[in-house]
Amino acid sequence: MKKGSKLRKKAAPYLFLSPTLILMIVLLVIPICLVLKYSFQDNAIVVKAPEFVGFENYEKILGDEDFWNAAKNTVFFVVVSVVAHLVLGMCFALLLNTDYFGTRTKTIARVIYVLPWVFTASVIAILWKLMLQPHGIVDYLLSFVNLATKDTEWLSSRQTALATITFVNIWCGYPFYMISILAGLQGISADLFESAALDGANTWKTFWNITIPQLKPILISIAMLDFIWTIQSFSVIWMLTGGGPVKSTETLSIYIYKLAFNRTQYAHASTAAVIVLAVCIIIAVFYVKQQRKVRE
Amino acid sequence: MKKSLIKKLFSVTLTGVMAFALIACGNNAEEAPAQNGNLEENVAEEESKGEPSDSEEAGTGEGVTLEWQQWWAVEAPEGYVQNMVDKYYEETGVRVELLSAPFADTKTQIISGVSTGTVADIVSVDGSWVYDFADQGVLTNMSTLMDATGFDKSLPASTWDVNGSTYAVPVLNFAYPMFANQDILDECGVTELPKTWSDFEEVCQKIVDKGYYPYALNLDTSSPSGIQNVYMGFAWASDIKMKNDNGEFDVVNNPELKEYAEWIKSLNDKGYIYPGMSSLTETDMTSKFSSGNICFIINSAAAITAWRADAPDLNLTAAPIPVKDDFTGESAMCVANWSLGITENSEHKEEAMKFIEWLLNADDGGVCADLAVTQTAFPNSTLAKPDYSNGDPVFQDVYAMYQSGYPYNEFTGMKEANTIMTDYIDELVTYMDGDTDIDTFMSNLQATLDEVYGK
Repeated sequence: MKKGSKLRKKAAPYLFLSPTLILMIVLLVIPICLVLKYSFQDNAIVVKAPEFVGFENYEKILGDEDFWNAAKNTVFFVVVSVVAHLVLGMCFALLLNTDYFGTRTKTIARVIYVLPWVFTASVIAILWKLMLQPHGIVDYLLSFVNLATKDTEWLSSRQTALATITFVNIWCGYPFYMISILAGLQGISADLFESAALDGANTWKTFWNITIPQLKPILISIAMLDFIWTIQSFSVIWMLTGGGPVKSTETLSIYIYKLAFNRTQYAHASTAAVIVLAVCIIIAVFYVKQQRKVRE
Repeated sequence: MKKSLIKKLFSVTLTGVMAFALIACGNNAEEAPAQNGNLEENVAEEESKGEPSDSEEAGTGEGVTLEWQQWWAVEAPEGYVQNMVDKYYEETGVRVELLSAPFADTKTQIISGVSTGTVADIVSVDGSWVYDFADQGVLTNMSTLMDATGFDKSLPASTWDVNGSTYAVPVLNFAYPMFANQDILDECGVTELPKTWSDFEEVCQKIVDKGYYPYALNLDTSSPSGIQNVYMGFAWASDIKMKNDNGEFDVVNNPELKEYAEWIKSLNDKGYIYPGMSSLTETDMTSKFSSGNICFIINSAAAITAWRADAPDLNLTAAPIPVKDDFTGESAMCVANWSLGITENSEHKEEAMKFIEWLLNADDGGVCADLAVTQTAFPNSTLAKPDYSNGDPVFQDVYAMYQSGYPYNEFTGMKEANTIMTDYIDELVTYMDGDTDIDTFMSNLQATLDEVYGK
């Protein structure tokens, strides 16, 4: 009787955890294991009995010119997006935290600034596709200041397409930074700023020596999260350019999708997905370590 | 103590229920409820009906349930395809459950079904998937089935064959003629539709002079069909093809294909083609046409219905695709199809074959003919006699053009068609941008074709 009771007591936490664990196994562990398995097979999914081919798929993907082109585009897209998100988010957060504006002005500005984050990917794509098309509103406005002609092809030119989709991604992603940084700014003790003012520190010095160090944990966390999210970006790029023209906006997510669903090469697509997963895991490990540091 | 025990029991029961629900959700497809509204509707409606009326006609397969993965029910008027399969059930006692998804999702669903062993018995397929599906063993060899079931091979006007065996049977053909905006033509003083490339250029200049764009090419690679429907569709009208007389893909030794590419580039250089072609989707192109920005486009005749509904003021005209100046032969017209294949995993292949035969021959081709009229398409049944007399006058013009030429599509049944179409677009865009010359363009395209066909 005593033994049974002890066992029940020990099992209780696992029973409570079991729904979550089952969901995680079904929705996370099994799919990841399957993709990993496919990456070592030949003609996975489409063939009834695919053969084990070892690292052959990895050799093929890593030797594929298109993979490296996609990797290069992804690095540009991610690095520029994350840096611009950080800078823009910081600027808007500082603006919304300042005492120079009234509460009503700040509330209205907050609603306007957060709007891009509220839109779904399809709305963002349609909106920008309409604005960026030749003879669209962007061409019309820029032609006044001689920065573009009225038929500039922002999304159809290999010279501008990648920068354009990066710009769209920056536009729709900065509000997350803005909200997070604003929350961080509001949590910094006013005493610190007062002490700095008494010591004769100017605005710039206060910013570098008080604001930035106080925000550092938040900045690192959101930058890492953003890195992982941006590396996986698909919908907006797919709907704006489909990876074109001539693979100039083909990021790794688009490359993987095309391999799987256009070329039905699921084994190769799985291999590329595993490589991206490995990169994301490395970032995630840093993120978890950072979070632990913050808690401590 | 009692309370604690009750709490624990409650927690364990709740956990058990959740786990059971999770396992039940992951159970096999046969036991799981329908995943889309159409299927649920189908089952409910069928349950409310009685047994088949004619037991003599029922013959083999009575009591069998076939699954049909398709996009037809999504594109046809609501309930049309459902009524068709209900009629089949009444006549034969064979149920056909519709698994409906938009065209864009159908290929993914077929592949997913194959990977999990739950693929439907009958699948609607696109011409660009057939070779790969046949090669990968997704589709069964229908030639053998046709012999086994006594299928009348004269019923379909055409079949999709891979290595001499049939793997899919088209039911409807969708023509891709040229359409023109008559109001723009009138404003530009164009009284006669262009018949040759020279006429077309002349008309294009008049259109540009009035501030419109004459023509559009949709070369977006997210759906690379623009290269077949529009770019090659124009070429096929002048009998310019990628295949040589031996049926091999030979573009590098094809002076006419080179000449055509150079001519299209010259149109682009002169500003006759709507800018932004490499990110222009078929939907973008159609909306630019219906909003009066573009004068000529090549598009599916099925779009007429959408234009009538969405752009009632559009003054639409069906135009023949201009041919090369010295061309005198019969013009080919690009076609896309609604076709059916039977999956290798199916346990009811013969019943599936009989259903396909029924679609082509029921009511002396009446079922196929009515479907064609509903979809502004052309039946692939040799028995069907569609009555378009009450149809749109523009569609009647298209029908006349279709009858005066012949349906053609080199990408149907092509090996790795999507890969080739995407690479073709990439090479064409590079050439049109002036970053490569015509010979490099053609030799790169030939290299892609040779790589796919293992030369």
